[in-house]
Amino acid sequence: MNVRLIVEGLPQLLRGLLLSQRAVPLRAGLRMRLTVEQIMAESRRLVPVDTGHLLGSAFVTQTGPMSYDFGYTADYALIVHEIPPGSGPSDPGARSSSGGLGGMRTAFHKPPTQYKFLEVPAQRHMANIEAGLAQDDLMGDLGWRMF
Amino acid sequence: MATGVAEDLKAYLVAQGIGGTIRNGALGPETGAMVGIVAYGGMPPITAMGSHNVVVRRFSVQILVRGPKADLAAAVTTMEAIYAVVAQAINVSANGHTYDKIVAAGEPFSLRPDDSDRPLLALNVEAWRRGIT
Repeated sequence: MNVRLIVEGLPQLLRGLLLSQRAVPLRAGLRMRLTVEQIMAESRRLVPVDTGHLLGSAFVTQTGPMSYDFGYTADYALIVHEIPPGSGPSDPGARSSSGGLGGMRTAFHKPPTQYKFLEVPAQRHMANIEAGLAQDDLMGDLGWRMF
Repeated sequence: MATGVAEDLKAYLVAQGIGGTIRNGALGPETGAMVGIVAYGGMPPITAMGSHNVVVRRFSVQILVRGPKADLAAAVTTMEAIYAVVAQAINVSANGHTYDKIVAAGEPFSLRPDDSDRPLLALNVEAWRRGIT
């Protein structure tokens, strides 16, 4: 009685790894660009609009082969991004972004606009870069499929 | 009823000796200094076993510190005390939950004084809570 273990497909695996080695940098760059555009597309739907200056200051800049800067250039963008809404209808500050009510510094934004208009979509889409590379690109090169 | 991450973080700050008014949510209309804790979402959870089991939930939380009128130093002191206990906390227990870690997502920053000239500082943290509870 004996047991035989056989590893099959080694040449195919090595070919897949070689293919992946060449393709991953390009794919990673493309996937990152796609993800950044998705983040900014969603962010533009969420960013509060008063005069439109903040919305109009949205930008995406490629700073390297796999490096992007994105966000808003308006000097008050951080303030709008970080001041939260009030606690509810009983909270008078919930309807006032400034003045008159003790200056609570809460901000009401008409849905779907909201504070954290950049960070929230970024959190939602960032995981797609890693997952896309691992599941779609790399596993595809190797001829495997996640299940 | 299970407590939310903001309530847990409030309990943790109190246990660590952070004094004054700590509010679960945005800063209220009360006068004077105050700390507000706002949970606003977070990263997707870390999963295991074929992505079917949530191992760690990753919450994003904003901590707001409002100082007394025209007293930036007091606000900074409070914020630094909070930063010291949340920037590198591990194995934090609060309200029956365990947080593998709580880490600062950046440095504290100013949101300018409000209309009553009270300084307002903010700090974003990530809280990694063990399990799906």
